[in-house]
Amino acid sequence: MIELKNFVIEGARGFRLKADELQIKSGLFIQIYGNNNSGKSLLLKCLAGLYHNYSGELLYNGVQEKPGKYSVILINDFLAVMPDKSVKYNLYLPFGKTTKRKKDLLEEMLKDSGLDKCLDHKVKTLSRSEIKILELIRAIIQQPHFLLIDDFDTYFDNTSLKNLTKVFDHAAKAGTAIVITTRKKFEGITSSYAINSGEIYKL
Amino acid sequence: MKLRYLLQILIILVLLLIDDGIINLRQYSQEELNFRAEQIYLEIEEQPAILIVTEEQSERISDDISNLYFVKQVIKQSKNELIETLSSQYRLDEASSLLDELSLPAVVEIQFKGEAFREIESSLFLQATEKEEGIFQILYSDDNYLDQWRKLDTLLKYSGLIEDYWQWVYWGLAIIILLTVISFRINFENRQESYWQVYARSGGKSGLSRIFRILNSIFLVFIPIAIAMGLEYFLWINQTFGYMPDFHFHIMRSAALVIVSLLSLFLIRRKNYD
Repeated sequence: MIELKNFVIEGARGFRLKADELQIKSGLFIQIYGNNNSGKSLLLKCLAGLYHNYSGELLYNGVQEKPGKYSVILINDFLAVMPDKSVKYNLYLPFGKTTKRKKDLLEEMLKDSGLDKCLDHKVKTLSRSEIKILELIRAIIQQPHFLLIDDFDTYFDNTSLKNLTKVFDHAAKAGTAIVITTRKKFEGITSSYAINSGEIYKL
Repeated sequence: MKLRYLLQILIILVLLLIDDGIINLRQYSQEELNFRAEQIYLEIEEQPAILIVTEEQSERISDDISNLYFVKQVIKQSKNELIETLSSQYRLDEASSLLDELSLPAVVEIQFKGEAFREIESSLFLQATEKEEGIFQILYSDDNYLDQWRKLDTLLKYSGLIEDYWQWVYWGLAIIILLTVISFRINFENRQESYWQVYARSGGKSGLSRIFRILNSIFLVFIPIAIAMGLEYFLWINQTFGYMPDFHFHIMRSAALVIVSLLSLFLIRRKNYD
C-alpha cells in the first residue's frame, strides 16, 4: 500500500500540490483527475520515485523510503518500446523467458486487447494507443505492486477501457494497484480523486 | 548489436596482433643483430697483439696489460717454453743445451675483449705499451680491426634505428588501441542507451544495465587479448613462432585496457528518464 500523509509537492514557479491523505491499496484501481498543469504527472513521478521535491510522508507499506522490493511501473508519454522491433520482442523485453502460466496469461490478455494479431509486426506500425496497450499488458504480466498510468485519457477512451476490463482484472487479481491520471472522469472506476486548487480530494 | 560488438572485438584483436607482431619483430631483429655482433667480437678476439719482451720484465708486463679492462686474456710464453717449442718444431733436441745458454726474449700474446675493444681502446693499449719497459717489439696494428669496427658501427646504427622505430610505432599503436577501446565503448553504449531506457521503463531489473556495461567493457578487451595470447602460445608450441608469449606483458596490457575500458563508462551520455 502507498500512503500519502500531509504530502506537499513543490514544483517549478511556486507550484504546490497538497494531499492530506491518499491511500493506494493493492488490487485497487484509482483515478485521479484534474486539469492540465494541475500536477497529476508530478504526483505519479513522486509515487514512482522519480521526483523527490516534496515534503510530508510517502509511505510504502508503512515505510518512509521506497524499498527496492516494491516494484513500480510508470506508463507516461515516454514511448517505452523499441520501434524497429516486433511487438513480441517488446513484450518480452524486460523479462526474457517466462513461465507457461504467465505465457498463457499473456496470450489471453493479447487476445482480449486485440494485439494478438500483430505480434510479429514492428512496433512502429502500431498506433499510439496500441503501443500503450502493449506497455500496459507488458507491465501487468510482471505483476508490479503499483502500476501508474499518466494521461490515461490521451490513449484510452471509455470504449477501450471497457475492452481492457479483463486486462485490468488480471492486474487486480495479482494484487497490482493501478493509479491513472486523466483530465476527465471515467465511469466504472470505483475509487476516484480530483485535483482542484492545488489539493487532492477524495470523491 | 551483436554483430557490431563482434566486429569491435575483431578490430581490437587485429590491432593487438599487429602490436604483438611489432614486439616480436623488434626482438627478432635485435637478436639477429646481437648474433652478428657476437661473430665480429669473436673475429676481434681471434686477432691478438704480440709483444716481444725481456724474460725478466715479462711477468710484470703481463700483469699490467691484463689489468686493462678491454683485455680478455694474456698468454705469456717464457724462455723455457720457447726453447721447448723451437726444439720440438725444428728437431733441435741436441742443441737445446746451447739454446738454454742464449738470452732469448719472452713472448706475450694479448687477446682483446671483442665487445670492449674499439678505436679508443686501441689508443689506450698503445699508450700502455709505450709506458712499459722491456718491450722489444710490438706486433700490433689497428688496421687489422678496422673492418670489424666498421661492421660494428653499422650494426649499432641499425640497432638504434630499430629501437627508435619500435618505440614510436609500439607506443603509437598502443595509444591507437586505447583510443579505439574508448571510442568503441562510448559509441556502443550510447547506441545501447535507448534500449536500457526502454528496459528500465518497461519494468526491467534495475542495475542490470550497469552489470552489462561492466561485462561488455571487460569482454571487449578480454576476449581479443585471450585470443591473441592463445594464438601466440599455440604458434610457440608448434614451433611456428620463435618466442614464448610474455605472460607478464600480456597481463599488464590486459589490465591497462580493462581499466581504460571501464573508465570510458564515465564518458557515456546518460539521459534522464523523465
